[in-house]
This record gives sequence, structure tokens and C-alpha cells, in this order.
Amino acid sequence: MRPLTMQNRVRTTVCVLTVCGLALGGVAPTAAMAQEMVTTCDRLAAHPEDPDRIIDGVATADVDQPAAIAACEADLKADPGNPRLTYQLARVYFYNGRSADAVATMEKAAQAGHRQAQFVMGALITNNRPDASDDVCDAEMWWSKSAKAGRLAAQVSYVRHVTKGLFDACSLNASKDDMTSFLDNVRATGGGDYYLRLLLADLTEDLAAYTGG
Amino acid sequence: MKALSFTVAAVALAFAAPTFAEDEVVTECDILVSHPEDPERVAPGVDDVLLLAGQAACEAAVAADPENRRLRYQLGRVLFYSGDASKSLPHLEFAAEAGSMQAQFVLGYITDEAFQGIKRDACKVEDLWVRSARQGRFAARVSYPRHVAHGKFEGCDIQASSSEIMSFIDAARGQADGYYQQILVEEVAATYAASDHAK
Repeated sequence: MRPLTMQNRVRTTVCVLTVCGLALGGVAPTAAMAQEMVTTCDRLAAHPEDPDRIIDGVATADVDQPAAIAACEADLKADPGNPRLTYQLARVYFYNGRSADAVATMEKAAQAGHRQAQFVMGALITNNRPDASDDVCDAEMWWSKSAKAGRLAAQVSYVRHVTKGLFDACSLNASKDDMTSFLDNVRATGGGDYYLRLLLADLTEDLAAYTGG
Repeated sequence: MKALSFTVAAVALAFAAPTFAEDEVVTECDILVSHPEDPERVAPGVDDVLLLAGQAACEAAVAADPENRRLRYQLGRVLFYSGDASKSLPHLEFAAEAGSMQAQFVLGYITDEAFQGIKRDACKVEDLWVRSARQGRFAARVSYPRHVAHGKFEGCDIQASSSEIMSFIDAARGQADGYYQQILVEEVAATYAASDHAK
């Protein structure tokens, strides 16, 4: 969590007293949810699977792109460099077909340590999306950061790519123990889903074969 | 209760696009017990079933319409969640035989996992899942090829040819909902392609 500015401290106080408690009913609370102010950008562009979102999130098909872009650009002017808002703006740029803007903005959020943006950066690269890096080792770097920060999708994807040899040309930033702990974390937090459990079983087997254990 | 919650979570599979049958009567049993991923459900479906109310509603619905495979599956579902496998299984068996692709998959799944002391029977699972996969159930379309590839149906008559199994996987690609399902399908495709059955 980045340090709070004075402006955000004031917002946070208001948030704790009013808006957040109402807006977050029914959402599993996180540290971020308890402390940050919900902006219009959050309401229009938060991703349902972003672990650092501070509101439920909006499905891709339901994002009002022009309104969300305007809101996120305005909110970022008020709070420049906010990694969550930067990620959300990048998300909507991407849906809106502004590929170059999306990748450049996503990279800023990723560099600021936003784990969802780091995961998405890796996905853009491995899916050969326009304007993304063509170096698979950049994906390894982003996914290792995101996985170490606890993003489930990156934990699954990192192990899958390593065990399939897709990062063989790269210097790996995660050890065997790191990868084992990635799968342990996925098992502990998302293991109730049937399909995720099938995937975990296969990846656990693949990791054992890859590491010779 | 903890063990029950685990079983409920384990059997409560993920989400599928709704395809409600419009000409069906929606009963209290449907509202309280239908499965969110059952392609034949006529209500949105619930993950957390109210056991006593659900059982009462489904027993009444089945008494009024005993040949209805959807209601029989749902009665089997709530009884199984209540930990009463001996009462649940006849309803699941009936629904599976009557053609419920959801019952076929679930009955195969609980048999494969030997939940609640059910006797494990790989060949029964093979038969149930191939029928479910042929009818279009996503879970069966990934689970069947995966089991074939892993040799879990060793000693059974594997009813689907390699080309039919590939068609299950191709169809599953189009049905996958979300990131994890998509990469699971790709994992299954790669594992099956490398297996002896595919060669």
C-alpha cells in the first residue's frame, strides 16, 4: 500500500465514516477496501478480480468506456500516480481499442507495483498483443513480481509457463520453493473451485517433474 | 458440518451461461436447489443450498412429477449435501439414466472421488462422463479427456474415439468461462495430445 498523501488522509476519514461502508456491503473486505476512498473511476472501471480493488468491480461487458476513461483521467489528475487508478485507466483504454495508450499506462501501474497490472503485462506479452514487448523474459519478470505479491492468476501462469519450458531462455526470478508456495497459496485460497483444482493437480505434477522431485 | 461444507463446496461447480427452459414450470425445488451450472435448470441456481427447506420442496416436487429428471437430480443433490448418500443415489441414478447431463457428470464425479463411502468404479465414471460430454456438459468435456490421458479408465471400454475426444476439447474451448477454465482446457488439450490414446 502506498503512503497516504494529506489529501488522501482527509478522503480516507470521509470514506471510513460514510461512503465505503455503504458501497462495500457484501464484498469480502481487504485492507485496501478499508482505507482508500472509492472514486468514480473505481465504480466504473474496477476489475472484479483485482485483489487491490476497493469496490466490487465491473465485468468487461458492463464497462461504460467513454465515461470510465473520463472518470479515470480526472481521478488521476487529482491523485497522480495512484497505481490502482492507473491500472483501471489502462484497462479501459485496452477495451476501447487504444492499444498503445493501454500498454504504456499498464506498464506505469505495473512499475508502481500494482500486481494486477503486472499480471496483465505478462498476459499481453505471452499473447503477442500489439504494442506489448516481444521479449518473453519481460513476461517472466512481470509474472514473477505479481506472483510473489500474491496474484493467483500470475501464480498459476508462472508455474505453467516455467514447467512447459516457455521461460527456458530467461533467468528465472522465482525459485522452486517460490513456485511450490505459489501453488500452495492457490490451493489454500481458490482450491474450492472444481476446475481450478484440476488445474492445480496437473501443475503440481508438472512442477514435480520439472524440478525432478 | 465442516465436512459437509467441504463436500458442498467440492460438488458446487462453477458458473455456466443461463439457458433456462422457458416452457417448464418453476417449482420451489428449482428456486431452492437448482445448480448454477446445470444446463437444464429453470432458475438461476444456488451455491449454498438450504438443506431442510430444499429437501422438503424437492420431495414435494418429485411426488407431484416423479419422472422429471431435473427435479430428481435436484432431490438427489440436496440429499447428498445432507450427507444421505443412500437416499440420494437412487435419484441421481434415475436422473442420469433419464438423460440429465448434469446428473451424469455429478454421479460420475462423486463415484470417481468415492465421496461419502460410494464405491469407486472407473468404468461407471467413464460411461457417465462420455454421455454427459456428448450432451455438451463442459465439466465432462474436460474431465473425460483428462482421465483418458492420465490412464484413469485403464481396463474400461473407452467409448469415445480419439477424434471424438478432440471434438470434446474443441467444444470446451468455446464454452470456457474465464481465465482458469481457458488454461485448463489448453492443459487438457496438451496432456491428451501427448497421451497414448491420442496416438
